[in-house]
Amino acid sequence: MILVVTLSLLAAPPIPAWMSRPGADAVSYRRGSYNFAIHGIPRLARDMYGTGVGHAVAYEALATGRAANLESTVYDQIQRALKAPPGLPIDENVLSPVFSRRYGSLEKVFDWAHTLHFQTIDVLMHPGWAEARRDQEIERLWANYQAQPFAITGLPMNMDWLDSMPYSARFRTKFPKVNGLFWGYHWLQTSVYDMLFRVNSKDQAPQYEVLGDRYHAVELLKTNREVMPMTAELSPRFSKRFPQIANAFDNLHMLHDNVNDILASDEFTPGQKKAMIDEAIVRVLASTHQGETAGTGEAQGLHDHRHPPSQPGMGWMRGMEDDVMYMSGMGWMDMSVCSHCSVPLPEGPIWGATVSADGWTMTVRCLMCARDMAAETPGRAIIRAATEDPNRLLVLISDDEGNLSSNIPGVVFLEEMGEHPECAAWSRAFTSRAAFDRFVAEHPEFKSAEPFTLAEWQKRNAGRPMTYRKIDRPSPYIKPGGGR
Amino acid sequence: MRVPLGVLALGLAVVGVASDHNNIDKERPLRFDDAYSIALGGLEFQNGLRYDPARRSWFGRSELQIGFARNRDLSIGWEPFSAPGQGLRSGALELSYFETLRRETEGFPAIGYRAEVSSTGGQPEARLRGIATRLLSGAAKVHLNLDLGLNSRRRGTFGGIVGFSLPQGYHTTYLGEIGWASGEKGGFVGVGMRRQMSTRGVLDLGVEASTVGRFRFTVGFSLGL
Repeated sequence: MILVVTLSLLAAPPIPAWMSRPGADAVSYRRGSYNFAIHGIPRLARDMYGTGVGHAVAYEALATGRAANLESTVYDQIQRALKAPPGLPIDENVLSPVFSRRYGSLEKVFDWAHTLHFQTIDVLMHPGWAEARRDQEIERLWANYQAQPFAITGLPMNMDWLDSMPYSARFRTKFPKVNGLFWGYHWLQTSVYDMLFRVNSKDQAPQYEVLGDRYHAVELLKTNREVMPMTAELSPRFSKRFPQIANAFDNLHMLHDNVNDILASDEFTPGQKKAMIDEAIVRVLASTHQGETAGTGEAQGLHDHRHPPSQPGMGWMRGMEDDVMYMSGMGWMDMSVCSHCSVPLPEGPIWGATVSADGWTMTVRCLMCARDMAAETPGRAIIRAATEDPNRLLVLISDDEGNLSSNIPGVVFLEEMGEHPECAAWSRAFTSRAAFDRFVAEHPEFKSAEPFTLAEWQKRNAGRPMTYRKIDRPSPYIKPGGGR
Repeated sequence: MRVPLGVLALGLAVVGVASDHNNIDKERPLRFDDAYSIALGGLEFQNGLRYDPARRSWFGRSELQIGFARNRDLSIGWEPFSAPGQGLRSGALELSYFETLRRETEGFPAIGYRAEVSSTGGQPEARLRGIATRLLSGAAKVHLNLDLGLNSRRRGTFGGIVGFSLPQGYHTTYLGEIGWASGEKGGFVGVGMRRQMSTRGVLDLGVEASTVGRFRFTVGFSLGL
């Protein structure tokens, strides 16, 4: 093992100069009127600050020789903190002072990426801005982020390869409960983007009632997830629009996993751990991949920047074939087709809806598929769907009995059953009866269509479409003998 | 020079920056600094009032810090004061350069320095402060400050402070200091706290006693822009 690690260090890309510089190198966030808009949903702000506490407390325990208590007293301490998280931003160095001074370069990478996390959320939550202005500011934030040497690459990276180091999977094997917390934080941090993206400010908070409950009740406690949550799995629309940011977050979260695995490996000396962490940092730095482009690169290696054809905001996953990948909790899915009817999703910006339920978010072609998929899934669900008004997104939230509530009081539905491959045309939502009438006037093929109210529409159920094709394969994360 | 009270009030009302309860600067609220500059691109506006009961005098302090380069900041400060029979006076103007030379590692403390020039009524002074910050136990830190100066009579001054900081909970840092300065006929001790009040604002409170029986009380607020 030591020989393998030594050889891998010798073959690693060179350490950039900034990692040897002694300065603290703190960088301020970009100034803007949107900063701290996350407090518009106080519970979300507290939960996000809580993730910082959770990371820092676990890292400090690992850095100060308390790994033996990680699954017991430290886990309990973190759980207490997550149940009563801070109401203001925290200084993680206060909670992990030994870890911070030992792994200074890593702190710079983490801090700067977390700043991008928070600022992109702030922009998406800032009330009163048009979507074009939000997009513009997020692009500026990305450019600002990339201007620092400790920025993580926005290129998709091969997650399977990054997670196949000699030390990989140590942490999740030895500390499944705390690893569950880490992946729970990353679930939260990546789920919120589609909750906020293109959604009016007033329609964001009700969604967090569902996601926040799920985060605390299920996601933080999960110990059977096969692989870390990916941004594009949980926020497919945001990831498609800003693939570089989605990729950077996934690369960041994989760096967290690598660091956890290194720290959990008892056979390495502190010096070796430091060198391996530095190597893990270099692998994901933007500077290491300068001049490279998404969609290209060597297979199964450091410079493998392939991505699924329909989702540029996701790196290559284990067992992936084009758009077909294994998703934790869902099994094998094809991202290029509707998750409910298996009919190919339309190309371009036109889209049907997404369904968030049971911890996943799936893209579907039409409102009918969204409704029926939500109804088939136990627990609460969120449907986000396009309407005839590009500036008004329909947000439907179901209660535990499946009753839907809408952010658009007068929403009207068209559901004039036809051939399933055409469902995106005959299953639609409109912001008003007048908008429905206009659409029908322009499309005489629907002249006999009935405008359904939400109460009428939600009683309907077309069942599982005949076109649905389940991909029946075993999980690539389970070895034939049963182990991972 | 007399200044209108309204000008001071306006200075105190400026709103704006992310300030951190665990980043310690001189006079906020005690005399010592930690070895860390503010962040690159950061802008911080610090304001405070100090009361000296023996002289029945109030001292204001407003300072604008600019993180103009990596590990370096510049600040412009102003210290108006009010004393019996003198009204409100403009006091000292101060220009300060701060640099963090290195962050703390396991084998070495964080090292920084502050170089400062000030002028009170046309009388210039200069000071150089060397700073070392080291983690003690838990998150408690010790901060060693060594001062060299040249006062308005062109005479050298020197002094030293040992400061302590102890973060408690998520948003509060308690502070203590013991020090000595050549121009003050003795030493001083102080205790204080910094409390994060909002995403951008930190409140500080401090009290200091000197070995000759004088006290000073300080309250301040720092804002990130």
